[in-house]
Amino acid sequence: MDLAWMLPAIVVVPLLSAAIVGYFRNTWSKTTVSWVACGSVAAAFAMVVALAVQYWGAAAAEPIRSGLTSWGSLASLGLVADGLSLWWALVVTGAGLLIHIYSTAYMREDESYGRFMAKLNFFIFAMSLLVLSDNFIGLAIGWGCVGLASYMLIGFYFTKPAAQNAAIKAFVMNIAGEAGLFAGIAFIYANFGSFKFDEVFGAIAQGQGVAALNLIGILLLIGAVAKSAQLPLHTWLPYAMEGPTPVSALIHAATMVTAGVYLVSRAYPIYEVASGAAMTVAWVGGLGALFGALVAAGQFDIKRVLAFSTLSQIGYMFLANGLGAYVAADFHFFTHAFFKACLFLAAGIVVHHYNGDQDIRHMGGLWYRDKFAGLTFGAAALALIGLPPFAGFFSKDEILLAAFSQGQWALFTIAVLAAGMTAFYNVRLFSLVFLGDAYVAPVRQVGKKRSRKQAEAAGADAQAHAHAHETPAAMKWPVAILAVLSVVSGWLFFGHVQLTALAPSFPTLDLHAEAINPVVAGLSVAVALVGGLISWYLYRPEGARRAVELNPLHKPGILYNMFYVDTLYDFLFVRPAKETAQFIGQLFDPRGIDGVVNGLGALARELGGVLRRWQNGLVRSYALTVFAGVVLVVAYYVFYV
Amino acid sequence: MPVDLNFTIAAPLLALAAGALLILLLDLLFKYETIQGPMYVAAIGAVLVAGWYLVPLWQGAADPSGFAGMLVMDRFAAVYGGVLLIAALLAILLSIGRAREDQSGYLALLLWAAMGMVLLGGAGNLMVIFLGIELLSLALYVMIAFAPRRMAAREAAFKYFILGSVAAAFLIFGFALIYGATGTMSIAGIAEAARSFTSEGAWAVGLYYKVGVGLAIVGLAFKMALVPFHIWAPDVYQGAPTPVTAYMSIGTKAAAFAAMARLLVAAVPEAYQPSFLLPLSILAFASMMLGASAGIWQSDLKRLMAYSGIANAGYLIMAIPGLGLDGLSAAAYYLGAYGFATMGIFAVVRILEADGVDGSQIANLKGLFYRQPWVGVCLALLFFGLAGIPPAGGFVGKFLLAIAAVRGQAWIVLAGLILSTGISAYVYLKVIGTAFTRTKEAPQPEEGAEPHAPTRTAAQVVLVIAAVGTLVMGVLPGPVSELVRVALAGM
Amino acid sequence: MPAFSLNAYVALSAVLFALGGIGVLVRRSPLAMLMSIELMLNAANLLFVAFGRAHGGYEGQIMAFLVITVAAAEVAIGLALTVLLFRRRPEADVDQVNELRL
Repeated sequence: MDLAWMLPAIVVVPLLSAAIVGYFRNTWSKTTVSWVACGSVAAAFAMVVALAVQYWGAAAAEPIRSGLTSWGSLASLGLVADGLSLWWALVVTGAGLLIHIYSTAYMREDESYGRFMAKLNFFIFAMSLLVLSDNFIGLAIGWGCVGLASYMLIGFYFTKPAAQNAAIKAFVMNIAGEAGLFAGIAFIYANFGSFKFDEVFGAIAQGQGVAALNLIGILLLIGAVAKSAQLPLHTWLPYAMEGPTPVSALIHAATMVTAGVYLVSRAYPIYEVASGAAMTVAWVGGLGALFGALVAAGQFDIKRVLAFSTLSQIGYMFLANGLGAYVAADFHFFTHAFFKACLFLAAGIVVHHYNGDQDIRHMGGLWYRDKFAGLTFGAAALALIGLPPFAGFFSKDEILLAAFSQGQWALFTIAVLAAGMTAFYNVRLFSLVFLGDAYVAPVRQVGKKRSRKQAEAAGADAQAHAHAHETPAAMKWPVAILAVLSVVSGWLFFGHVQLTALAPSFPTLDLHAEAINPVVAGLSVAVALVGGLISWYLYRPEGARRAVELNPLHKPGILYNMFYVDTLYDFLFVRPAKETAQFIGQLFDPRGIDGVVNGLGALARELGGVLRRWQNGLVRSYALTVFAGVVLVVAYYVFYV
Repeated sequence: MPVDLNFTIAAPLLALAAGALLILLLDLLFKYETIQGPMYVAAIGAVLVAGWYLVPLWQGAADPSGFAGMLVMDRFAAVYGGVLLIAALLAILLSIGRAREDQSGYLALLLWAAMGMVLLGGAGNLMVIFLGIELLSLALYVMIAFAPRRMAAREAAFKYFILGSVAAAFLIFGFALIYGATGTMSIAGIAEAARSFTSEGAWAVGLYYKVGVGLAIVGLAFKMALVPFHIWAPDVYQGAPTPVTAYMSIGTKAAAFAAMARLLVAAVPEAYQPSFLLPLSILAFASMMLGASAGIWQSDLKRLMAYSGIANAGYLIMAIPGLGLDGLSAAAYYLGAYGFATMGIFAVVRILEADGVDGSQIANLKGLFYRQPWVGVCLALLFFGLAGIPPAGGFVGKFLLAIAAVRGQAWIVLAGLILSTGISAYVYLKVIGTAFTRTKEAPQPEEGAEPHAPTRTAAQVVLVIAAVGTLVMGVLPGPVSELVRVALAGM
Repeated sequence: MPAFSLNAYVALSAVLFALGGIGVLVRRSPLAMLMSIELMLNAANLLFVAFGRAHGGYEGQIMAFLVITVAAAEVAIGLALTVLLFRRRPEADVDQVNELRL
């Protein structure tokens, strides 16, 4: 049976649904909106499954192709279902479906419920387009659209200034990344004359255009780094947590932020040749893994801990990609999507209990009130730590093994240390949230706490009082399913299943069914246990460090401040820009511009002042500009040889 | 010498001129109140007839050259003529409902300006370039001032006139120097002469020629509004009546670009284009950066569009250093995409003006989406087009231009494209955000202004055409880009 | 007739052109600006005529006439715009006109 028609349908159905839901968001009842929004994603998921069955069921895995739109002789935008794209599409639509269902309960009380579901649908469209495209243009369009969806959803609570700022921050960083991606694609076209993966990679296999591949690899990496919040373009991710929790789970943990991993995996023939670019990928990933894990240990916002954990885990995936272990990277993406989405959704339940307060210092003892949240959160955390037989163990082990077997000792050490830190911050997080005594707000802090209340709680508030923190079934089921997957998806898919599933996408690689290496596995588990035990000693209910951090007078240190990277950026870029502008301003006008202008937007105001003096409305002054331009142009030509 | 009258290729121009005369005649012969509608019909008809005569030229006329080589209506001219005629058509539609006096003069000038623009695309001689520039400029000077009781419009017209005349003086001084160096005014002759300037195998040009080309670039860059010759644009765009602003933002740019492309292809041998045209690349880079970032401080939508136009003029220049089929077809495509987006945004301004609101104030867009959802959605789509975000046509256009720049190794402008796209996306998203901000207060109509239904309907038609055009060029670029490519490939 | 070299004509017209340009920059009266622009155009005309004579064709002379004609039209429009803008002002000073800016 020819199922090729399903490919465009997978992309178009969520887009149509987004348009329809967006249009009828105020006229339809919330139930209708939920059914349409979830139904479209369910349909997309079903079609992906059908394609997957056809593709992997066949004796010789033959990619299923379909056209989408034509760009004339320049390029035709097509879609393809091969091992890699189906593997990703399964997670995107599958996890997407679960999170849609979760959102129907989580966001139900929000007055902009329809708007939210429409945007979520739009995201599924964009991400499907990204992973199913058979060419760089489609990938880039999907890339831009997921960025747009992310921007819209981070700023979903647009009345909240923090959310607006976070959205803009994410947007700017992503634009920087897109610049790299687009430049990379432009170079690809310049060298190979095509946008199609097959044709470009075919040309590379024949040894064409090798000289430019390192540059192309680095440019693509810039795009990947920005999208996947890797060092040094990671600063937007913690702020992105201002978005609603399902958004954090779907976009900023499971799927969108891993798009960089997909890009590198997809473009693997480039990195196979461009060893310099590949090593850069590996080091960016390794350092990111350690950095994220360290910073996560110093955060007090439950979602920020998870955000840095995401940074760290994606670092592992980059590390694997850089070492040529693409299958390991994609496998880790697969398990990570489940356990990290589970963690976020469970965190959403936790936050519901605290009426939207995300500060883990204000939690404690939740285990005794909500075993379900504790169990699911704990299972996912164990998967994240990577203890056998939980999912993360298998995928992380493959990555460590890649570093080990290639003799990359520095990277291997970093990765193992990061594994220890992962256990450390997870135990800390779990202990602070679920164990010990419940937090009692000091009287003087009540006012502060109220002001902290997130807009997210506005709807949940009334509900929370009425139902006494009963978690709705629509929230429980997705979390439960994800928790089960966090436990089983590792050993279920380890070894031959994921190798045969993904192998056709990496035809030039020598893949062998890998077994657990006892040395590597033993070492990583041992380090994780040590990290976890130290953390337990420090943060157990009567732990010394716990008491210090829970003290309201405690002043958080370097980890809490994310190694001052933001401060550094401020120092390196924002302040010099302001000062330069001020200098230019004084150059034009010795008296200075209306005194000294302080604060945010000073740069804009300074440059605006320059512009105002230039564009002053006087025709003779304009003529002077024109003459100056003429003099410069003529001078060039007079001296041109 | 036999008189070389080739009316087949001159037919589009003659149709426009005849339409203008017919409109003036109608005004003389009939009562003013009854003839308003027919005048608009005549104007639209003239543009359509001109388009009709353009079709065979698009397919490639047997003899595209005529009038002793003065006029070369080849496929290049036909493609740009097509873009220009669409702009003229939409501008006429947008003009419906404008201040109801001097209608005939206004429409006649609009058609004559269109004639000048199409003429520029088909110029085969420096004289014709000068004639085309002056034809469109003189018509536009007057059209800009066509806003009774608005001092701003008069000020804009005066500034544009003074600066435009100075630029024209530079242009013809440059032409005179080129003529002096080559001994001919015909572009084909210049091409031949330019390639004969060699010494010891290298291209060696005299001072007159170099400075002449430099001044010609200045004159045309002024019309395209490239930094630093852009300085008139924001004031003029803001002061001019909205339909005129819309018309000139596309028409002048496209026509001047076409003339520049024609001139520079001939005047500079291909191998020397990158180094000889370096100033143009720098102007383009500066235009992109200023055009994108100056938008941050604008509270006036028409001014913002002026800066956007400045940036877009810079993008068009990307096609020039690596001028070839890629560049020219990309530029034509981009002009189409940019034209639709710009026209549509000015149509939104007109829709607001139809209700008596000052549509050029960005603040008055606040809550537009909740009052007129479709207008808000279209506005967002059109700004996406300007920013180059899919699914709008501007994305494809920018992509094609970027490819042309890569082929031509034009790294300066490519860097400018990437940087400025980021900045401008921020600026445009802020405007879109304004339109999508919930507010209870509708903007207040200006004193003495009354709602005018025909204006609104006409502007809505333009908006729909523009939005559909943008969407088609963004989602199904194949047919359009093939059309342009095939048309240009025959050259 | 004294034989000047072609370069002398070019130099003269360049000087005239520059004078016109300076006039546009320094004069605040719109009429003086118009005259300065005329000077710039006529400097170009001189160049066309000189080159036309040197090359021996008619093109240069024709172009000079074309420029004169267009310049006449331009002045007509320029004067009309000047009147339109300055009619209600006490003095014709272009530095008083800057309602449109930034």
